[in-house]
Amino acid sequence: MNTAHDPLENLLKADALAMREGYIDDAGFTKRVVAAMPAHSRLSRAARIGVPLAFTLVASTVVMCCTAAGSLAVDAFMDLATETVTANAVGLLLVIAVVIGVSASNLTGDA
Amino acid sequence: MAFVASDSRTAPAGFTDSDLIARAMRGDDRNAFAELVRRHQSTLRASLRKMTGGQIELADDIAQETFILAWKNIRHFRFEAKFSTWLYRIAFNAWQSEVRKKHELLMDEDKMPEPEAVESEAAHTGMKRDLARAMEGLSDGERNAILQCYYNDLSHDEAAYVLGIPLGTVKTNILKAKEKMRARLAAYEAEGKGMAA
Repeated sequence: MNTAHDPLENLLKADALAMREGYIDDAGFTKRVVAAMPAHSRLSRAARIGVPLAFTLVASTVVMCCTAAGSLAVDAFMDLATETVTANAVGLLLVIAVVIGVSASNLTGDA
Repeated sequence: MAFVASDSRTAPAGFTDSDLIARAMRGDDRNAFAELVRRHQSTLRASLRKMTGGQIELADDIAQETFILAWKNIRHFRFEAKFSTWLYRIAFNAWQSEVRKKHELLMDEDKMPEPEAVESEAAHTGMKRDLARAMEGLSDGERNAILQCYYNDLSHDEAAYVLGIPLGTVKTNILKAKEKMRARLAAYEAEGKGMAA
């Protein structure tokens, strides 16, 4: 369609051009933006998930070793290692699945 | 996507937008990003002023929020669109979020300044004033499509990316908007002639 003689088209283009050509003075705007810019995190996304996860695993291990829960976990690992299906083993698998699921959803949610 | 990044405006220092983005991405270079803000602030603020119906303070707040979001997410910029188009997308989403937050309607006449005040620079002529009035009668989707394609000078593809809607919807909205605006402008013209007679 030839728009050269379309008054609406010409009017819109002229108005838009006037808007784009009218320079808005910075007047401290850039300074305000830079002042409000947060520092970028130095950690990668994987590290942001991995570091808390590692701390959680270490803390859980310490707690398990210092309490009765430790023997349950050891039993569960032994059951899994010998491919014996017990309530302990199933529970441990569930906990591992939840930890992996939460980590994965955090990673994808970040993207 | 059918459009490709081609932001190659050269800064006085000789850096293109792409150079500055790369520096901000890799080196966490705040000065490089500040230069990007300096280059794009005028067009983005003007676009937001149009989008918000001339609410200058609100437009500047959203522009500031847009640049901060762009800084936070600069590592996700993939050079698939121009930097300015990416900014328009962030700005549009920020504006939409602002609208939702305040439960405002884009074209709520009670809360918007009068077109004459809004378009103080643009509405010198009667035709331009009529154009502003005609735009008020558009739906949000139609108005957004006109703003992106004409005022932000984007292609239909780019407007679809900014607005987050299918290309076909952009084209339909443009057609419908222009149809409505033509009818309104014709009515204003007839009114004017009637008054003069």
